Parts: sequence; structure tokens; C-alpha cells
Amino acid sequence: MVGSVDAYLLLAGYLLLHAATYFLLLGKLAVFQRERVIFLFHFVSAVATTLLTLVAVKPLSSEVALDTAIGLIAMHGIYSVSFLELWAISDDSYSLAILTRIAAAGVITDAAHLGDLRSIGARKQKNRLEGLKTIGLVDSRDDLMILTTRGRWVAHAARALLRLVNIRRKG
Amino acid sequence: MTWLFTSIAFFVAVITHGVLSHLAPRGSAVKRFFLIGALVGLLLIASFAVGNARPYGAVLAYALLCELYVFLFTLVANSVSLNIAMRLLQEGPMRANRITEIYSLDDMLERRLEQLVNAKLITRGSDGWRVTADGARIALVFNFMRAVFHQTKPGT
Repeated sequence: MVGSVDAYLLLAGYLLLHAATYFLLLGKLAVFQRERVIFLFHFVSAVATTLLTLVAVKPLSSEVALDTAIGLIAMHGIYSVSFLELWAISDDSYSLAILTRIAAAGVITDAAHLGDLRSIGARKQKNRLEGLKTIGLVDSRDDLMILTTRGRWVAHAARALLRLVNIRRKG
Repeated sequence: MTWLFTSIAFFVAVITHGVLSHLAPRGSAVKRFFLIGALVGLLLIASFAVGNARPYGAVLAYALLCELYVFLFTLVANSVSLNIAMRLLQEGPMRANRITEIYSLDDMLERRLEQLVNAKLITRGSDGWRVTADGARIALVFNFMRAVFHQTKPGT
């Protein structure tokens, strides 16, 4: 039987292997530049780890076993959320794109270079409107954008969270 | 019992963050939560140690909840999509071109430049925008991350 610490070490080894597979092999493939694919890469691994952990823990039914199971699932969660956040930031952060443009140019004058930065914003804006429709938050009828029921729930939750954290500046 | 402690600890961290964000709103909400989350996390570990327990799972679950909370509020604060959805909730249906007007490219760019100035990553001089020493370091890290993640998409 595998002890609690051994189980964490086993999972840590697996997560290292998972990350190495991306950094050394899969990340070089064009298909792994797509959000959906990179998300599935982590989602499948997280579901498999959860199922395996639950199957291994079920016959033990002790408090320590349950704690270990939740710990292993949380460990994979921390790894995947961190990985996906870093991937998304480096892939699509407008602020960081602006920062690197200024760093590369040395100095950016309003007139000379901001047009280039606006074009990045234009692409993001178009993607966002399309994205809202694709994920079912917004419906469009005769060029009129309308929140769906799911969209209303998400917007209410987002507004409540912003109020809690007292963030007024948006987007 | 450990799960009750974990749930209470997370709840306390979020509520404390909310209260402090209203009482002292200056500074980064993320840094504020890191401090509160870490402090409450240490108290959680200490409370387990007093009972001679080693519930690593409960501590990891607390860490995951904290990470998800930070991820959620930074996503909501910065996501153009979610802000469009909140605007639609507040003002009702809108034409696509009206949304494009509200989220004008100039405003989007200005807001990002302002955030970068507030974070002391860039400065605005008489000749234009320049990166600070911190900004140059962040830009280097960002370029390194893009290389590590094999991201080759031009210009983001």
C-alpha cells in the first residue's frame, strides 16, 4: 500500500513528467498553441488523476485516506491552474504585449507607434464579441446583443465579485 | 473537522480581503490577498499542528481555493468579455457598434497604459513612453515565458 507522503511524491513525479512532455515535445506542435487543446491536455489529466485517486482510496475509507485523496486532487488543480494561467498570460496579455513593444522600441511616441498597439486591441475586441456568442453568454438578433439566461447569471456573479473586492476600473 | 477548519479559513480570508479592500482600497488587490491568504493559511496550519494532525490535503485544498479566488477576481476585473456582459446586464440589449464605441480602442489602450504606469512598469516622459527597470525585467520574463511555452504568434 502506498502511504500518504509516497502518494504526494508519486503525483509530483507524474506532474513533472506531464509538464516536461509539454515543454520538450507537445508544445512544439502547432495544434498545442490552441486554447482548447491545451485545456484538454490538463483536463484529461486532472480527471484521470481524480478517478484513479478515488478508486485507490475507496476501499481504505479512513479520514487520512480521504484527506490524501483531496490533497492529491488539489495538488493537480494548483499545478493545472498555475500552468494555464501562465500559458494564457504569455499567449494573450494585452498589457504585457504593450510592455514588450515599448521595451523593444526603447521609447514609444504617441504618434509613431500607438497605431500598432491599437491594432492588437482591435483584434482582441473582435475576438471578445465573437467569444461571448460562442460560449453562449450573448445572443445576437438583428445586430442587437442580448444576454442569455446563462449570460445574466455570469454577469450577476461577476458584478458581485467586483463589488466584494471593490474594483471599479474594468476591462 | 479539518474540512470545516479549511472552509472557515477560506471564508475568513475572502471576507477579510473584501473588508480591507473597502477600508484601504489603494494598492494591488492581488498583493493584499496574498498577504491575507498566507497569514490565514499559516494560522490554519498552526491550528492543525496544535491538534497534532497532518492534514496536508486540507492545506492543499485551501491553497487551491485561494488560487481560484485570485484567478476569478483578476479575470473578472480584466476581462473585456465579462465587462461587456456586465454592461449588457446594467443597460439592457445593445447594438454591436455601440459596444465597439463604449470599448473604444483608444480607451482600451489608455487603460492598459495607465495600469502599467500605476504598476511602475512604464513612465511617460516628454518624448513618449519608456519602460522602467522593473518593466524591463518583466518584459524579459515575459519574452522568456513565450519562448518556454513555444508561443510564436506574432505580436499577441
